[in-house]
Amino acid sequence: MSKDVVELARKLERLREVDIEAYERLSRKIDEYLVESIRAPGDVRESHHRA
Amino acid sequence: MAKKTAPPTPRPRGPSHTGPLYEITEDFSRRFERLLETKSQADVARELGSYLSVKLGEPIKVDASSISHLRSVKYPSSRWAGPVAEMYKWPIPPIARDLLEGGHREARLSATISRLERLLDVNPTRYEHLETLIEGEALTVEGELLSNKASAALRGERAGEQGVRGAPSSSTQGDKDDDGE
Repeated sequence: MSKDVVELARKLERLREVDIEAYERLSRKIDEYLVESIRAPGDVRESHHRA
Repeated sequence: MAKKTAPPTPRPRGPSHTGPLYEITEDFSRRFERLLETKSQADVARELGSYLSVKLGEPIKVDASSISHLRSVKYPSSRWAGPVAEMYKWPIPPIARDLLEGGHREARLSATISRLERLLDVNPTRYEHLETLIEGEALTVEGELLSNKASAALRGERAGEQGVRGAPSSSTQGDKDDDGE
């Protein structure tokens, strides 16, 4: 699977235009991921691989 | 005389994002960038608050703690106002939010790309997860839209059937029109 961040961002922006609540839910999720990744990136990667 | 009532015009959502609005946003960006370089956090917050209040005709208070975040954000001056305002949840009323975001679809996309890149730089394993989440939400929303459309069509159909059963041969508007003459 190619990691097309621009395409992902476009999808997110399209979602913002049709359903702001859904967008905000995802937006919060992204913030959470970012915070937890910054806090312990090694742990997150390891736990992901283990899962 | 026929009394004609114009059908209600649907109000467009949000302001038009061209002309003066765009200029205000541009002006705001330039001004604020300069302030960030020369003034203290509290001063910037105060000046920005009063600037926006005057421009938008509503009292707007900018939280000083938001300003420290802004210093670390490197958007071109003409592009950051909307996304940054949104990102840091300034206490800005909807009209100002619309204004700041207005005309900045491209900037929003750019901000979203930056956010995703920041996350994926730190944790690339989140890509698939994010993609699934976003597509899942998009599908749900699409499903809801289709469902709403179908319900509306059904309601319209039923209303049409009732209209056909209950109405006389001419339309009610026509009857009203005839009353006046």
